Amino acid sequence: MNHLSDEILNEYLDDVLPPDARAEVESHLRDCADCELSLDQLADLFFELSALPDAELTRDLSADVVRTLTPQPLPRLLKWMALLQVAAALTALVASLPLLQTMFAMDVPAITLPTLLDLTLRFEQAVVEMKTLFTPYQWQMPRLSFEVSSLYITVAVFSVTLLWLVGNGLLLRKSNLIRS
Amino acid sequence: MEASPDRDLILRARRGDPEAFGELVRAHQAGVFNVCYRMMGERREAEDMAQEAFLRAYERIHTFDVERPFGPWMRRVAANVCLNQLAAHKPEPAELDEERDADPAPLPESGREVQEEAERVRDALRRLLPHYRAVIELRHYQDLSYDEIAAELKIPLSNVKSHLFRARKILAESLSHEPSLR
Repeated sequence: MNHLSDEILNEYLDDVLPPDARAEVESHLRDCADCELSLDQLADLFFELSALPDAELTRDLSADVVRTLTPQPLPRLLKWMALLQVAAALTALVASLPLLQTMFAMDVPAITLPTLLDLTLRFEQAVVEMKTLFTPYQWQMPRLSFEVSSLYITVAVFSVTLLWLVGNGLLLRKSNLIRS
Repeated sequence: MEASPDRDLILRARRGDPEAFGELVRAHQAGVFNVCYRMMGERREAEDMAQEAFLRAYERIHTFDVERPFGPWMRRVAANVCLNQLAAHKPEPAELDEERDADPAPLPESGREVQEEAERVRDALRRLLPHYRAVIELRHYQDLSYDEIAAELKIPLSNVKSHLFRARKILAESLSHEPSLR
């Protein structure tokens, strides 16, 4: 007599066999003491696993979880950094007002197919002119309408960038989702 | 389908309310801790993993369907967190830390027998390879089907069966059942 395989015994106890296969297993078990013994031993294991009692949790985990998830108040240095960022942004905005006025004063045509074609042509012309202009290549710092040296602008741009990077870097490090 | 009784807490947690999530932790921490204890085999580590599982769940709480019960989802998250931890840090063969794992309260004689039997089962579980432990946890303690285990562990169905049957065979031998499972 062929004995039932491990797989069949496991699937029988897991109750995943189709009804006809299940009936065959039960028929075999009635006539085969070896297979019945194997099944009983496997069933004992199922029982022992299910009888494992829950262990008692001896401390409340919620306090630590809530503390980790609660955003910490910003340190004073970061608050000043944020204020500095706002001030730097406002200064940059005021400094760029002449440029913004010029931009808003431009007559922007409605975008239609003919104007798009026209814009494409103008862009191509501009590219050709730029190539002519920059041949031979000769770089000059842009000149502004008010008296500020290019060195000051470079320093200002560098400072604002540095403030932005440092400020946001510190803010991100404080984010409660980025944990060590 | 019955709506999750934790629905309001989950919605508040989604809006960034850590206290609401804290209430969910209080309600489910015992079950989650036990998943981790069975998976890790050591009490202190199980507590750490349970905490980690809750933090992981908070990060993913937007992906949770609030109409489903929170507990089973949370326990599956915990099993995965433990499995990843076990896979990342291959543990030494499990040794009981008597002091840390001792029951907090002394037990009467009958209780001691139950505790010894439980410890025997825990010890056998501890000796299993992590992926064998995971399939036993998901099948026997979380009542997942073969297909659900395959989806949860992202492994083929055939591997679920082979891991599960092999794990049971090892457990049966560890627990001194005659290894007559052919």
